[in-house]
Amino acid sequence: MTFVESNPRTYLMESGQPQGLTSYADADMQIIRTMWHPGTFYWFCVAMTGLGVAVGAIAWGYQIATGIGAANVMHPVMWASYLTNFVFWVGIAHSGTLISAILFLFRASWRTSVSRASEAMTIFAVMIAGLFPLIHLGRVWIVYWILPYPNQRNLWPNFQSPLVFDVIAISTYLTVSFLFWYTGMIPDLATIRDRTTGMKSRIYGFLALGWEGSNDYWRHYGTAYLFFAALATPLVISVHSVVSWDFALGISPGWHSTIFAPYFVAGAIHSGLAMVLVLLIPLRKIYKFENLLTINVLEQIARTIILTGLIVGYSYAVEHFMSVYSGNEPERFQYEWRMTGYYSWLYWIMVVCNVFVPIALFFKKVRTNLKALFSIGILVLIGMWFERLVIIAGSQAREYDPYSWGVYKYPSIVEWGILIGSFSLFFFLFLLFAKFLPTISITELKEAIPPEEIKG
Amino acid sequence: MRGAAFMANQTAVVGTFGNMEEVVKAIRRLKAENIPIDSVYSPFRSSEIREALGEPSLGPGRFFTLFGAIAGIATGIFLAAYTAAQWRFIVGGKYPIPYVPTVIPAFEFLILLAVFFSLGGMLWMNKMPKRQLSKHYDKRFSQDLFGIVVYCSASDCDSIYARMEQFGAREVRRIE
Repeated sequence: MTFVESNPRTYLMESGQPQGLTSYADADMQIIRTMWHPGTFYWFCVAMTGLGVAVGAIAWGYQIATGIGAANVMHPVMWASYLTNFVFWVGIAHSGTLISAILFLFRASWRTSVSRASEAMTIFAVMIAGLFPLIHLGRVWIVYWILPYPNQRNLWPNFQSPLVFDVIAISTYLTVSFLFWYTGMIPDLATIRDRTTGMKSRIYGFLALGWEGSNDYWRHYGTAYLFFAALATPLVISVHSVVSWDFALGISPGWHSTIFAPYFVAGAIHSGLAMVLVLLIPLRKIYKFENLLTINVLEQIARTIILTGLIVGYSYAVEHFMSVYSGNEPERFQYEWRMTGYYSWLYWIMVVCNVFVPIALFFKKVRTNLKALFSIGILVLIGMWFERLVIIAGSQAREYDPYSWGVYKYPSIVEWGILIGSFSLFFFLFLLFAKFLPTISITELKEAIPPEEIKG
Repeated sequence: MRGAAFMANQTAVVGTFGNMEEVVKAIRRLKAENIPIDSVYSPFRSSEIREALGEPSLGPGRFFTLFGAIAGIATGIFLAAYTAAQWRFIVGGKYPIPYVPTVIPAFEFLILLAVFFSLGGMLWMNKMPKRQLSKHYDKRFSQDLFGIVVYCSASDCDSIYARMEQFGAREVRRIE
């Protein structure tokens, strides 16, 4: 007799399935009620993040009016905080689709309660990431020059450039992530349509596209969703690989390395999982989702963070080893300088936050403690932001020729404003999502309720 | 499943069931009696219902995905090759259209168009978007009830109605 057969109830609790739901209507009630009465604290958060968005908009407006010099970007570090933010947000975007698509393919039961919110996180993070190249351009009004169409001399963007790869990869990722998220939500929108009246019913009915939920609907939906998941999984891996090639295809010391693609993908998943914890723990508390977002679900995320943390730590070690073993002098110097030079304090914070802090998650007491999980999530996010800065600014600051050495000293007030604005916009959009759309998939939740739990 | 024009003039009997076990049993018994089931409504996707109906797990939507994937690869390669051919910047005698960098646009367009076609296939086969829900649909089917729709002619409606009741339907409706 297997463990599952001998301990069915224990297995259900351990597997992260929803608890305390005794009818399918309970699932509707629990998710939909959060959409109508979010409470005063919610509106306070919306106001604060809205204020942050205004700060970011003013800072960007000021930069557009005065020029890119308003940011502390100058030779030799031309890619500084804006590109750090870009790579950071693309990284955050990774875990949403990863959790949703890969766990769907593997039929992981703990996916149900976290997939929708994680997918939303992905979409908002990619949208914000996509803003940073525009911000960094300075003259944002000529952004259309990067689109793939020929100019008056019949010259097209160079499809051999990793920057053009990046535009294609990120825009594909945003489109696919949005469609994956929206398609998964159509049956839920129909459920809300049927539970509401008047204008609400009409709006959700419009978004539900006339979904009815007959066997044909489910079969065609299931086929499309399965292929979405199967297509989104390699896309997740490809997008951050392409982002890493923005650097790896350059010849700067510290960038020109074949380890960059897997290293960036692991780092992206690491930061994305940390953001999932940072978003879900308050969501669980505010919406009283303790029976759906069980400790076990959070523990599974924490276990995955251990894995990604170890991969990231291994990548750091390999980078340093290869810089010595390769006999490439500028490369060796670059890595020594990272540990001991101007950015060394960022480097050591990065190592501690990304590699050593997640080791605490080996202990079950830490993995099951919400405050500890939340704190580790925040620390990993800080570590990953610093990692992006160390890689991007560090390599430009110390290239081959000592004549052109220099450092990016600190972000200007405009860069701080835009940084605050980007985080505020992310949380602002997430709060709106949590108010107007179901944060947990209602139909998947119903599917996950064991039949023996249903009464009546 | 019958044609739409045929069904438009038919009376339908809709049986409403309270749980999965009941609806799966009813499907099996209706099938055993060779009563053709038009549709089964459920609040969530259910492999039990699919198996009871004898449907394959994948629908024809997979061919849309395949077509989209092939079209995507072709588009990506064409775009990269065509644009390179427009700018004949020949260095060291190398051929102006490189092979390796076409892989990235080809891969990204493969994913993009395959997803577009998958979604398009799902919408097309489900006749979505649509403004009017079908008259057999009951709002409770998206909450906690299951429904079986069987079309009948004037001669067999009563017997199908009785069968639905006999097979455990909590409510049976006749829809003209």
